[in-house]
Amino acid sequence: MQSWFTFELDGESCRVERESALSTLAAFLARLDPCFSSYAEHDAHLSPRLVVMGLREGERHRFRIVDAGLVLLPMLAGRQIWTPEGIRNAEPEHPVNLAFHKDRFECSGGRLDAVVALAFEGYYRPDLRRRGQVGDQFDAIATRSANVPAIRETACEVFASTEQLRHEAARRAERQGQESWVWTGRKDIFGDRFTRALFQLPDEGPLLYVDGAKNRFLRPGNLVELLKQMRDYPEATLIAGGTGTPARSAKGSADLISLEGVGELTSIETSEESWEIGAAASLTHVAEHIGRECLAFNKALRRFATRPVRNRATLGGCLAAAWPAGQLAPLLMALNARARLLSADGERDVPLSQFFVGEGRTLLQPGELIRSITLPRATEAALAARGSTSQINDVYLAAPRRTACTPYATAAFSIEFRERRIVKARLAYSGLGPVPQRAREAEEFLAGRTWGERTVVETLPVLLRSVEIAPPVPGRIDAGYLRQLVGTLFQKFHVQHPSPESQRPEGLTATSEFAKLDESFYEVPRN
Amino acid sequence: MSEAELETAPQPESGDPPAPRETFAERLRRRREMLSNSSEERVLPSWQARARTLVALVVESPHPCATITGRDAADARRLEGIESILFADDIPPFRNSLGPDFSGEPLLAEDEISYLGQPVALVIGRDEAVCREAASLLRIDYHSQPAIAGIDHALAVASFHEPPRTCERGKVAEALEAGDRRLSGGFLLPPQEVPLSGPPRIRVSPRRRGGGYVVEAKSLSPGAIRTAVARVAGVPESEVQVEAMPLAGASDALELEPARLAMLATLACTACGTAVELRVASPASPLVRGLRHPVMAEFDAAFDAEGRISALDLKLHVDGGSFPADSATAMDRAALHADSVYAVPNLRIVTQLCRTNRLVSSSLPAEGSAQGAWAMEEVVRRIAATLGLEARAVRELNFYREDGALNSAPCGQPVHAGSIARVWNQVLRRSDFESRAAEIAKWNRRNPCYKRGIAAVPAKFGLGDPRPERDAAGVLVQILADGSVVVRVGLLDVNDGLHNQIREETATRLGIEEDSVRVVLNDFEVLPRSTPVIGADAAGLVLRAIADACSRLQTRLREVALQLFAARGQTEIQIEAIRFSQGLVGTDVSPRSPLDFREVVEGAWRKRVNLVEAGYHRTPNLWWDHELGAGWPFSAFTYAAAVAEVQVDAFTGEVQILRLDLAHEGSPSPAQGDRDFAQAMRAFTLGAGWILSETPPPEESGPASSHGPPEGVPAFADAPFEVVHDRLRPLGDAASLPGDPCAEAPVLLAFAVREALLDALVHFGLKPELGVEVGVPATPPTVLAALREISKRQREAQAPAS
Repeated sequence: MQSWFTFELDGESCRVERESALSTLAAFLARLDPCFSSYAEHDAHLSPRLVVMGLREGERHRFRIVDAGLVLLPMLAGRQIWTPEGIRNAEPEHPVNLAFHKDRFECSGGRLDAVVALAFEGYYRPDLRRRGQVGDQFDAIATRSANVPAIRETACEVFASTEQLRHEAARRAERQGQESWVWTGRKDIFGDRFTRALFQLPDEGPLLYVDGAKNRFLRPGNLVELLKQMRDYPEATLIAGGTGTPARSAKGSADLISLEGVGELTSIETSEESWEIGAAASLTHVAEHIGRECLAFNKALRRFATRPVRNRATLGGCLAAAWPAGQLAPLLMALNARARLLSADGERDVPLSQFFVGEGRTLLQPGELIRSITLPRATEAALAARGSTSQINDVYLAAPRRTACTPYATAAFSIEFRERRIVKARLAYSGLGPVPQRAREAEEFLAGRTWGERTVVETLPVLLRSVEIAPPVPGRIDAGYLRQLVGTLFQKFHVQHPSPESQRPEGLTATSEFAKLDESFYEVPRN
Repeated sequence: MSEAELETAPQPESGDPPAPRETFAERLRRRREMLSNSSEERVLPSWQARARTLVALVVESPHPCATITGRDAADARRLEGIESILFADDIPPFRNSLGPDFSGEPLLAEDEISYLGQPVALVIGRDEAVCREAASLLRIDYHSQPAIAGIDHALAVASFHEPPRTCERGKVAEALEAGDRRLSGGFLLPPQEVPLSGPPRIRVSPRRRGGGYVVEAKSLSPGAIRTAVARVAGVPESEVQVEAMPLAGASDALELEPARLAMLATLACTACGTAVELRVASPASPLVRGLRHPVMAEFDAAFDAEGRISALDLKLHVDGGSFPADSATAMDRAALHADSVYAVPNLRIVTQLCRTNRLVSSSLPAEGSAQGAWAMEEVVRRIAATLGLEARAVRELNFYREDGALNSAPCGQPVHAGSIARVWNQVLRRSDFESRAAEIAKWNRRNPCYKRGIAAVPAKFGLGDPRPERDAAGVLVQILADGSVVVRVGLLDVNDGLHNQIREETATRLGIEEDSVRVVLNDFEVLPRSTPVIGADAAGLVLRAIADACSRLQTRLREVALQLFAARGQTEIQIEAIRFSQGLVGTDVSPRSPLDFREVVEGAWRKRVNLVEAGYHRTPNLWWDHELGAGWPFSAFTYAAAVAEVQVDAFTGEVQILRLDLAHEGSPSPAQGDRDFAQAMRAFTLGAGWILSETPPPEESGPASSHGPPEGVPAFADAPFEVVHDRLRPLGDAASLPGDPCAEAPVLLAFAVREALLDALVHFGLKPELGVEVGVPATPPTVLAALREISKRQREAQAPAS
């Protein structure tokens, strides 16, 4: 056990000693320096206090925007933090700071801080390449006083400059016969003081921290250690990203066991048939891995909470919380994912459709945790192994606004075909009742039929019969709307995927001409 | 009067000779007597105790309408760490009032409860947890009564605050009878909530030396806070110092609510003698959530086949809550904007303030004016829909016209018809309205599941407040020894970039570099009451106050410069010819060898010329008489227009704004383009959220905690995909130019989004004869329900035919 650890704060080493293990970074910063005093009052929904965390995710070094009010201090051990204040005062001046200058952006200091931090993360994001993604990057700014068009335009300029940098680096690498590392962010192509320090981050070892009040924060390095610590401290709470259980609600003297250091839980294994997604891998990490192939996952994630939350929240955490209106569960259920549950007694494997048993309740027993989620892939080989030739899947949701809110309802559909006939359909909904549910009767009804408008119309009454509608939050939304959504979301699926092969863009090229969503920031000059 | 009260209220009874000053021994004796007489034994706060910060928790009423039949705090008082518990009885007689701004609302409820969340008691203790525990031990017996929940209810039981106000022109009754066609109807504009970022930070602390209080409060009107605190503490206002908090825009704080909370905190502070931080029951407490005024509009219109409106009788029922506070002003603003840009020859606007058991306030931009203007726009749209005409054409037909007979608003203030035509034509041209409308119709035919709509809406916005006393600003311009300048402005800094505009104005007026000007906002002692940042043309007033100060400073400096030139032998220079520009002082005639501004200031200092000047500006000749329904209430009207294009998703009812074209009159300075754009977007977003997505709180609200933050406040990705922004130079002479013209007008323009949405629904088959109404806000459930209703009624209409 150690009573201190260090992390890097704005480029300088910061030693934390005897600070409460339950203290958040925001509270710590507020005590540290008057310039962070606004961090003390914190409301995750209305004014997140954003800082950038530099860390190693497996082999990759990444800057991730996080909410300082949701990050516990010991989580930072061996990592880096850049506060907006630090970014602003760094020498030489960071391009993001030049672009988002206070005089040009008539927001308050606080809000502009958030913009600077978000743009800083975006600047180093290798996967941020199209205009459509700017909205996702900045979705934590949900305020009536932000000048969105101006921020969007400036951000595009900034990101275009990094994209250009990246293209140049790629050309250089090509000439030298190397290639792939530019786009995966495995190597430092910027070479500025921020990335130099980031890429020097050492491996995160295990951490055994005990604070002044004898609270422990344990970060085991592998699964064996984790199980041992769970046995030694049966009262301890497991914590991964820490977004679901805000630190301030953590009670008195509880010990915490962090899953972040357990390699088995944070890695994503890819096999021919499926992905094995570690339960403690952050959602952003998962999306970077599987998003290119599983477009629906990216789509569901785009409207899930905000970027700082997605950077910390984990797939296992989302499932274990069992929110009635969780956005991710339906898709995983429709794709026939399975959860591998682990305890000291051994492992068991359950289909995700049976995982949820009641509002906020799951199959998880005390002392048991989700080890990983097995998500079947839809490659040709994987489909052939399941006896089908093609698959269509998608996820739809209706919400009061585009991001950062609880949706009214989420629906995910996946249909597997053999020679145009439906072999297996999986239709899953959340938000309709206390638990995410499958429309079993409608799935059986669909099996063996051909996919087409008639089938859809015939299915609708069956579909309505086969789901149970009991709004989880009374008064928020009336059951009539949910009932309507059950059908219309399925129809939307059909409109967008009219046949086993074809897929039309959502909204029938609706919005792209306005948003130039698919336009990349930087057009490579043709020689 | 008790002795304790005598101490806090030192002023003698009128007529009596002033009491002789008591000696220290007498005071000590009186103090001791006071202690032994008081029923509760407690130690007077020592200096250690005074150094602490206590927490005061407001105990709120769980009922909207009730009588308090009993209060018992015995259990709670025994709790360790509880300092004091205050009820209405503990406040000295005649002091239990929030003051004239709140229409007689008591500080703590006496017997009657008039709205949900009304403060009933104050629990003061060591920390928040103890206070909450004590609050749960309080026994307050309520006898609940049926509450008046909304405007409907108030109308049904005729519960009003005051007789209706009328603003009229022409002969409405006759014209309605004589009208070609008639249309009447009604609709409701729901309230909008202000979710504040973070808890209400209210802290009142007694100043260590010298008495008085320091107040930290997140508020839009620090002047009102100062008045409120001084009132409750019984000290002169000069003893109260208000600290400003950083704000993110004008919708980040409230105007009246913080004053109420500050008074409660002061009450706790004076009771315990220590610094006090105020807490409310929950973040959802009505005390910290501003709520706009809901308005129910009823209209009766007469018009011809082309859509020319000949007469309109418009009734606006405004929900004034249980205590009207400044609701009457919001109502007046609604009436003054209800003609919008339409020259309806016979127009009667009747406004009535309904009394309900709610708490409403007017601390959001464009309060009242938006409701009034939208009511009119809705009437025009309905008339166009009834006639089957294009709404755009009907709008144009009814505009105020330069060659028309009518060129003033119903209250009598002139309307500049040319400006209406200018912004309107500009926005139509820039948005390419005609061809895009045709394009959209074509697109809609191809896409059964997504429909688009486009609409243009004009707006006329009155700059200033119908309460003329608010339309004034003061500044203090100080030239320092090296020629640099400090400008102190009696205005709250809402971080909207106004300081840049002030800096530019000062530099231009004094003819110096912008870098040498420092602007100090948040200096609330410049004026007795600081200029309000919303609802008044704050920027315009401040800029003109600066011009006032600078011109006087320049006159003095010019004389100094003349003497300096004379000393150099340049005696031929005329005083009028001396120009100040870019830090240099010289003449047009001999531009060579000008003086440096510093030299002139140095000279002025040596000659003991005053280099400090107070600037003041009030808009001249403002008046408004609501009984006559006439006046000149605004310093000017500003004009704006918008075209919005939206897309409706038939599967979910979600609406996305695709493109927005704005044309408005910008501030006169060409360098303020960025600021104007930010202002416009900020105001538009506020309006768009209100009209499109923000769910209003339920009328029949249960316990306060059941209602979370409003859903659907536009997120980053909800912003229009494309924004085209045209900033026009305002017409008119410099003296009448507004400084911040687009101000809150874009809130009104958000109605274009609703119009565009309804246009899209027309492509889904919406017709007036189907009788389908789409309420405000048009949240996804509302839109989807409307779509289902449309197809259901279409089927019903077709069934008998086939």
